[in-house]
Amino acid sequence: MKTYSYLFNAFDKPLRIFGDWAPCLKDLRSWYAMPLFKGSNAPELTLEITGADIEEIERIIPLPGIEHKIKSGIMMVNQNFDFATYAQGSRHWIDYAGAGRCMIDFGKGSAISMICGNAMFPTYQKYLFAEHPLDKLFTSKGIFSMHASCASVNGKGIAFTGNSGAGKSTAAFALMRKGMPILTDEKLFIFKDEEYSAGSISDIIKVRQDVISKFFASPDACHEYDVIAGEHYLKLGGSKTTTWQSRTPLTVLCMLEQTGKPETEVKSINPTKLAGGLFPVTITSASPQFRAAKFGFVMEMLENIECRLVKFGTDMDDFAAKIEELAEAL
Amino acid sequence: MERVPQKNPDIIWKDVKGETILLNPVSGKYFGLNKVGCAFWEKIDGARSLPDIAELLLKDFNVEKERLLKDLESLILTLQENNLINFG
Repeated sequence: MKTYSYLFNAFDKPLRIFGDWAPCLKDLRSWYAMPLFKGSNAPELTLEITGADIEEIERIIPLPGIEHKIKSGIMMVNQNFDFATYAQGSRHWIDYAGAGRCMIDFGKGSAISMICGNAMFPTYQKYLFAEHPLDKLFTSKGIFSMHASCASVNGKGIAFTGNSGAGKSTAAFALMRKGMPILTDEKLFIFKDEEYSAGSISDIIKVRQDVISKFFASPDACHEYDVIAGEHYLKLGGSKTTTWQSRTPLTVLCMLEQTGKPETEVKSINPTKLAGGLFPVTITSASPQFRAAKFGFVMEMLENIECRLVKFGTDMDDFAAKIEELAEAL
Repeated sequence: MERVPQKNPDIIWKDVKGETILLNPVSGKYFGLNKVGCAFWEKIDGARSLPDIAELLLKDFNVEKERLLKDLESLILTLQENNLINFG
């Protein structure tokens, strides 16, 4: 069986992703826009993605006892899959009954995903068996994901958070249409070097047809990676108005609130008010220990960057102009 | 006997520019406090009774005692309901 191995540069950390599970791995260089890492063969983070049957999974990454179960539920993708998460010490498990299992070892900076068959579509397999364990692994290196979109406006990172339906994706696409590169419409990674930086590892966005009609100059402005249940997975790039960027200094975090009025208003806000938009999805680590670490990071970030309330109007040109003014003023 | 509030030891919190966010890392639930709530939370030390804390708050904030006590009553109820404080 063919094996694959990639050494990516994940925010300056060497990340090795390898294994034999072709549906996830064969086109991984297209799925992830991270550059390859130059000059090191010693990865700080590793993710192995292999095909296996249930007996092999039980043998190689057995679950801990039921007393370590954190939560369970149903993952609704192309089918419904029961899932359960477990935590013991520095290791976490996510079991998707009959479809596969991940085990993340935060202490070692490594994760294993084992996948059974093709009941789950490959695009969903990438989300659950590659993206999700990577997201968790990054936390061990001080890189935390946020539920936010982000654009680079004249070199300044402007991130948008808000409750579900507040317009995070719309805000990012409105800026992209004006020629400003976007990092993500959904999941943003934040880390601190000398300053807070925002980053993204994938240039693939998931949108519905009405969004493409509204924000993309032509239907073929981007390569279409996949279409599932009316959702188009588009690879950004390919035109001046669909540009993706991997990272930018994070300058402002904006809380979006829709008003229904045409004009957008930008106001100062106490940073604690952003918790309502950020926490419900952002603070979801499996264990109290990681939840506490992420809380500490997010709160310190809120204290150190600019925070604004954006009363998001319906006139997208006005919105983009106001955000450009904001970026220029800071 | 005067009641002495205790913070739930699981709770972590951060004060940013005069307002506070509390998080229960076990449940993942979070809770925001305004300036008065923040000052109340800071004064809970496991020894001060509610009247002691109310007296300290009256010195910090220029409000009528009756109004403050009414606000505190509501705040304490909310903090208890969210398992952020208890009374031993």
